[in-house]
Amino acid sequence: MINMQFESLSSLLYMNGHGIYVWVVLIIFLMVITGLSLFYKIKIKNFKKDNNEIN
Amino acid sequence: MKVLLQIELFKLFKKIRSWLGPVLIFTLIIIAYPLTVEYSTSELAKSFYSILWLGALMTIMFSTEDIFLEDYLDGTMDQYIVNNISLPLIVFIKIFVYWLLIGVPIGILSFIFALVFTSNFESSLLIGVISLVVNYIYFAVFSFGNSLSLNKGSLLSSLVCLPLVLPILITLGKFITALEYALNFYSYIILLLGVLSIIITIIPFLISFILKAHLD
Amino acid sequence: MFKKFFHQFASPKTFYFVSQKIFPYLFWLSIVSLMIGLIWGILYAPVDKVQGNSYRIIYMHVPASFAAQSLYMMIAVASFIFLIWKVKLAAYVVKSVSLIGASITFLALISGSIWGVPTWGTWWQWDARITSTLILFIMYLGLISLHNSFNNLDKADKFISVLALVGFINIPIIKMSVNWWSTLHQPASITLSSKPSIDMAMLYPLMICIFSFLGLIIAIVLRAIQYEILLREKNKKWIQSI
Repeated sequence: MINMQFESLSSLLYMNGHGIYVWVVLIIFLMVITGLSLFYKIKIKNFKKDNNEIN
Repeated sequence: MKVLLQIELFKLFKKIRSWLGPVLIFTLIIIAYPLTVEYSTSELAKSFYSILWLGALMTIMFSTEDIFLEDYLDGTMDQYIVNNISLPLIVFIKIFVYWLLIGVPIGILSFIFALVFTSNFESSLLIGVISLVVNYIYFAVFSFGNSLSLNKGSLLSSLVCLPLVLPILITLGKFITALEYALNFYSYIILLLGVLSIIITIIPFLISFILKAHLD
Repeated sequence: MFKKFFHQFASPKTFYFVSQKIFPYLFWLSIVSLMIGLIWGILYAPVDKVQGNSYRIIYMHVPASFAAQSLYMMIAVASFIFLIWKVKLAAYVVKSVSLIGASITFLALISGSIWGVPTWGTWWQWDARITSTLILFIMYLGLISLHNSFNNLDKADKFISVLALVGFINIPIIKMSVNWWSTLHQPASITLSSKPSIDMAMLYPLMICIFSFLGLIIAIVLRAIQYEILLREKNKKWIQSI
């Protein structure tokens, strides 16, 4: 593809020794975002389920 | 107002554990400090001032625990509101009395300990005066914190208000550096006095708003 | 005329249905643009001369800190509105945003600390921005714990609004005072007035990441406020017929 900075998959993962930091931060970042999005979705779903059971 | 001042002074004076305790704890912290360091004058002086300021901070944080609690529990606070006595004035007098009986002795003790450790009369005097000013700020902020969690009786909100006084600690650190290298330290004194003037005027109104909300 | 326009937003019911409509578009659009920004930044942006490849953490760290500070601004404005105009929706905003703000600040702190290891060789450093972010985190935690310690929700709302306003006054003070104290963190590369000191090829994905992350956080905030509305107005008719 045009001008990708890394030649191969292994150099993408390794990134001259700095790869581990970038990938760890990326994983934590994605975990926090998905956690926050799903947290409220599940809570609203449970609330609506309880609400419909009562009515 | 004189009558109120005398009543509050008398009330706190009678509860000896409330005001003598913190002063003795502060003394104990400062006396215990040289025991933890290998005796050598230069090493003691490096972090002595930090222990002084932190000891005062922690002692005052734990000593404002029941500043409003008794009045809240036995209904005196309700009486103040019902009889339209100005609640900010009461709060100001309470903080002032606590400062008089706990803050001023801590200030005098800081002066004495600074004199003992550094043997420089002028700088110790300055440290004592600054300690008096800063103690009032601590009392005001931690009473604010205390009034937030009044009915729970815990220290939770006082801990939450600890980040609010961190700039004061940073200013004190810079003041000590300026003092040691004989730079211009008057600017820091003026800064702290400015903060004190804002705190004296605003905090009683804030706290009385919160107390009224507690009692509704 | 303007009064009517603004007053209709003070009703939780209007807010719930309007945000229900907006949410899917905002959420998925932000996710897609965030993915584009991240892939562009991590795979395609050029290597930094000084820091090597680890600078790519910037595409996650900077949006998180920017969002953390904007969320506190949102809390401060909402508490001001609640205390002066007694709009209940503003209290719901303060309560729900404090949890999200705490998680985002935690993310900013962790990413900054991991970035510090290859760059400065240390996990932690007591300099201006790091200390201010840590204090912001403690203030968010204080707001959450204070609200949870009350049984009476009206009192709890009032108290966290007061605490949020007092903390808001303190944040610039902390920023200024810790600035005197020491500076190790890089000064701002993107300012409004001068030419940015960061290269253009790195700047574009960064701007995309910042704005899309902000959009994503606003979508999550909308959902959190919806949940708070459902909880608090449980007994109203319009909720029971959802």
